[in-house]
Amino acid sequence: MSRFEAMFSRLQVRAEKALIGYLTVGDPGLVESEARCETALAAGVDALELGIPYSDPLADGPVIQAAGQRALAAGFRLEWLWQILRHLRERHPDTPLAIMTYVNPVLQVGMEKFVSRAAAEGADALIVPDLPPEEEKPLLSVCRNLGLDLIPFVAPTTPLARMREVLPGHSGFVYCVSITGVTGTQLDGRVSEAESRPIDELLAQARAVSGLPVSLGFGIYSAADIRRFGREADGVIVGSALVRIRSTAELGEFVRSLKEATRADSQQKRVGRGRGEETAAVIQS
Amino acid sequence: MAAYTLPDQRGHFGEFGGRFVPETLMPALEELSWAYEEARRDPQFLAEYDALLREYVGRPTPLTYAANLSAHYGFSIYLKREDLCHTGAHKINNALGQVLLAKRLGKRRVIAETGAGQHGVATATACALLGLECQIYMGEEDMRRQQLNVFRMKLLGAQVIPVVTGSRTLKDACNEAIRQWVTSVRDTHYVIGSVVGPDPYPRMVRDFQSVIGREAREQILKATGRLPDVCLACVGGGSNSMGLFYPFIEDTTVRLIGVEAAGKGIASGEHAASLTAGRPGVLHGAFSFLLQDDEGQVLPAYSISAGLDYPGVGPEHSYLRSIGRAEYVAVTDDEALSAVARLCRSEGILPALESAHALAYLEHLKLPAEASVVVCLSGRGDKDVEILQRHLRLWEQEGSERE
Repeated sequence: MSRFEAMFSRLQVRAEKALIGYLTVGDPGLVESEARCETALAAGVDALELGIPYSDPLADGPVIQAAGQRALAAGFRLEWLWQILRHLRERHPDTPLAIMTYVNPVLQVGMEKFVSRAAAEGADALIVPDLPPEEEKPLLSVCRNLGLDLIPFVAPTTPLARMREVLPGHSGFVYCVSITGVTGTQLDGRVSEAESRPIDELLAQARAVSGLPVSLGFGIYSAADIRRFGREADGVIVGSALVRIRSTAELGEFVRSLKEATRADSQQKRVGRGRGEETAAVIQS
Repeated sequence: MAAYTLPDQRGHFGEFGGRFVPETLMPALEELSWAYEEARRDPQFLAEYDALLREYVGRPTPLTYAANLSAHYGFSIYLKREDLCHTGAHKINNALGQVLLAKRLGKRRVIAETGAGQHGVATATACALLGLECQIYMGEEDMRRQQLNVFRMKLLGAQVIPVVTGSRTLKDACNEAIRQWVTSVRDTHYVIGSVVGPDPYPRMVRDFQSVIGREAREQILKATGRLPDVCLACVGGGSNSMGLFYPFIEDTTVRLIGVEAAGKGIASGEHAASLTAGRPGVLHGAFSFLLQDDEGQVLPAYSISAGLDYPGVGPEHSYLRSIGRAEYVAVTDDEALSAVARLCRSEGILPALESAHALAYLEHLKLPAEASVVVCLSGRGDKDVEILQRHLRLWEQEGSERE
């Protein structure tokens, strides 16, 4: 059983959602970046997505674009990723660790070489937002051979028939994109209560079709967002909201508030109540 | 050569091309692909497009025999006069086709990226004519370099949105337009300006631009009674060259030569010659040659010509190179500047700096007297006069100092 699968079944027993945190590797520098990962883990993220900074991040909004620029300016090299991955793996033997990257760095290193190295340093999954199912076959087979999950995406524009076509053959979990947009587009204010219903449907459909746990990502900024939009999800992915917090102390505090919102008692307690109360959740950068 | 039918069903030219975009866009590309396949077989759509090309763009554009230039080089040179198209460049051929298609798809809004501003102006023009809302993404740096075109776009009713990320040029304008498209994909069509991007763009833009090659082929046959020996065009993303080359691909006696921007020289690292000095990778949704470092980070391109200042190139060019059907070379800023001056003085035609790259390669061509060359004069140079003034004045000063 992969670390992602083990995590989801462990949390399911406790009726808890997974909190998956995204951080850009090398932001703002090698050492600080590793410290930020540790802070997030200590504060309760169940899994981490380590983002490779990229010159042309098509699926990312301003917050993650800026983080990537900071990391590249600081001199990011893939060696930084391998080092951080190795350290995290030594200290957190059971925590699922995914690499989020655009496809070009993988192609330049070479698929086989990249995935073997990722596996050797302790990664569990690859998340590649610009590699749709139509183009993923070579990488999927390399990942399978080396025991890594290649995480599939579904978006609000993905019809059910397409899900049936593209989801089989995957492992780990399904990454459900909450809105038509880039990372960091705030859901709150853009998606009304009525419009959040399709998110529930998307999650339910993706779970039914794939038989895998489903995680909701893009635009989740607060504990309130997790309770409002993550109802149907097995996990929630929080990226821009973490990346934009620059102080480690605040980052830890914020992660704790998010983790609290993924617990069952917290969910039940808050269902149907007003939204103004979760002040801890709305942390301004 | 056997019948040329690429790309395949999945938008691949051999190993190049494809669709490397976020899942959100995949259904839209599928929809666009179907709509385009239907449209290009629909006599009514084609009639409407042809009528616009004829009565609005001013096609067919002439194939001008450049007598003085021919005498200078010792072989026959014919200029395909895309500079005489409405709005001053070949970009309008594609913009009109795509905006017509957007209308057919029921989209109310169109977005586009632009570098030099020629594609932005063409798209804004097509939107004004056909009544669609238009937003143009343009790097802040390019907006500064091309103020005149920014003003033209605004005059045409388009909104020009400055892009302040990355190198603030065409590459970043593309990124931002794609991000914007992801966000508004349900009611918006993205008009890509070159034969780049995910399938179906490379084939669709090629098809709309191939009017250049079809006309040129017919015109040169009429003028000389035979096919040309060489077709010559500049390559940034590669739309005017693909448009010229495509109808000649199966004519294997015709050499197809694409000229990239060598900027300050390939060795300087400041250039935009993706095919000459790049490696295959993924940029803006397609697998093709691009300028990148050893870990796959895309490198900034440089050229004096904003329209060639792009680190990628259309996937079909990468394919044509890989099978040896087309040759790709590069000329520097200085060579292009000399070519501008030469064409002005010998033929009374001011070419765009982009097109001047193609003309500059005439210096390197060794051909017999009976040979003929078709050069795609993709645009006129009025937009470049400020840059020309700066550089040519500098030359004059240097010249007088030497005297």
